[in-house]
This record gives sequence, structure tokens and C-alpha cells, in this order.
Amino acid sequence: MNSIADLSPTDLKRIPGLYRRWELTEVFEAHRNYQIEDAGTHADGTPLLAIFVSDPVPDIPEAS
Amino acid sequence: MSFAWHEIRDQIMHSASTLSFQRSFDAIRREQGPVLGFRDPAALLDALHQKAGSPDQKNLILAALARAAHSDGHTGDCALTLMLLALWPGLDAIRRRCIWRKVGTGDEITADILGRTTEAIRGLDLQRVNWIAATILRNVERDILRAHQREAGRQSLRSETEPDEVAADDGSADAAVTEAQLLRDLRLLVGADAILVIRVAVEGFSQAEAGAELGLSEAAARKRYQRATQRLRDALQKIH
Repeated sequence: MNSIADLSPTDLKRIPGLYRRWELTEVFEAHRNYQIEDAGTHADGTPLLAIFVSDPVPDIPEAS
Repeated sequence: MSFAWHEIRDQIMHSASTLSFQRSFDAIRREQGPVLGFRDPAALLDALHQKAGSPDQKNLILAALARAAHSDGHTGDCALTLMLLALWPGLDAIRRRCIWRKVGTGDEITADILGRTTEAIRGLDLQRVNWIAATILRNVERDILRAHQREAGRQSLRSETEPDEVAADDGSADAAVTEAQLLRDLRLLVGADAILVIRVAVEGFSQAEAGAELGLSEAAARKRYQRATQRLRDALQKIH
């Protein structure tokens, strides 16, 4: 797994829209890096999130 | 390398959707009050592009962006990018009018518009300018047309052949002749409102903009434009 330190902020592109926390699982795809940012609250008080995503990254095999 | 106009906009939009751009945008929000209420660039551009918004409020936002665009580094670049996107509909209209006037090739016009707009934003004197968008767009278009006229004048002076023998390389002479003929023909049909019709129907200015140029209120320009187009329709029906 890559840490955010490996990524440049210019590599992460905003996914349009704002999301609730429980919607994240429907958004996430394998082999991509994500940055989740606070984006205020919905009118009903639910916290909203903005999602930034990287292009697909190759799977790096773990060292034995 | 040649880029289509819409591809340039797509490219700018793409750069405005990255995390680094959002970071710069957050820095502008912290420093510029009128921008504080917008969480991301998309929300800001939506507010600026919607027709229903208050012109005064939009102008305050643009003034804040222009102030930020004067700073160096990522924040200044971010503000400049947002200004370009905010002004894009106006720049698009300028581009269409420049192409119709045959000011240059599509690529030349594109480069000229983007270069001059960037220069105008970076060099804007906020103490002297009241209406940010109108001033920038008007100055950019005026400067492009003046530069074109100067260049056309130089070309005609340098030419060794008689002007009548020249087959208008860049098409500007053709355009001038066509415009003059069109104006003459229209004057026969709609009289003094011929210029108003050309500005609106051919060159793409709004009725309010064309009216302002001719010293008319928006209502008067609208009424005269409607009357002129009705006369043109009547004339066309007689032909058919």
C-alpha cells in the first residue's frame, strides 16, 4: 500500500459530487489511491466528503 | 502544436479539479472574504455563471480573484485559472467575433485571446476598474482588433502591387468588403438600424452591448432590433 507521501497532489483528481461516509465503499476501486477531504455537512447534518482519486497504480508484489 | 478551443478549456478544467488546485483554492478562501463561502472551484464557477446571481456580488468575487491573481506562486496561478474559466463564455464570444472578422487563423486567435487575457488579469489596476469582467473582455477584444488593424495597415504600406490587384491573402480585405456591402444592403431595408442588426445577428454582440455602442438603452435597442428584423422578414416574404 502506498502512503500519501508517495503521491503528488497534482496526481489526484476530484471525483464530481459530495459523498456520505457509507457511500465510500461504492466509490472505491482497487489499485487506486484516494484522498478524502471534509466538505461540510448536508442540510440534515450528515458530514459530507470530497474524494480525490489517482490513476490506477500497478500492483507491487510484497517482498518475501 | 494545435489545440482545439474546447480542448484547452477541458485541460484547464482538468487542472482545476486536482487536489493541489483545491489546496491553492483553500488558501485563496482564507485570504479573500468574498470567496470564503465556496467550498470548491466548481461551486464558485457555478455561482459566477448562473444568470440569476447578483452582478455586484459576482463583481466582488472577481475582484477578490484578481487580487489573488496578482500574487506569485500556486495561489496566483490558481486565481488566474479561475478567472479564465469564469470569463470563458465572454472569451468564447470574442473568439467567434474574431473568426468572423478574419483577424487570424483559429490558433492565432486562440493564442492571442488567452495571452492578452492573462496579461489583462495580471496587470489589472483594481483602484481604477469598477466592473472587472466587462473591462477585461472589452480591453482584450479592443486590443486584438487594434493590433490587427495596425498589422493590416503595415501590410498594405509594404505591398508593392496595387491594392486592387491583391487577392487578399488573409481574407481581411474580403471581410471588409463583405461587411461594407452587407451594411449598404441592410441600410436600404432597415435604414439606420443596419449597424444594430449587424452587431447582433452577424457579430454576436448582445442587444444591450450593441445598444450601448450606439448610445441606446437596452429597451430601445431591443425594440429597434425587433422592428428591424420584422422589416427584414417582410422584405424576404416579398421576394418569395
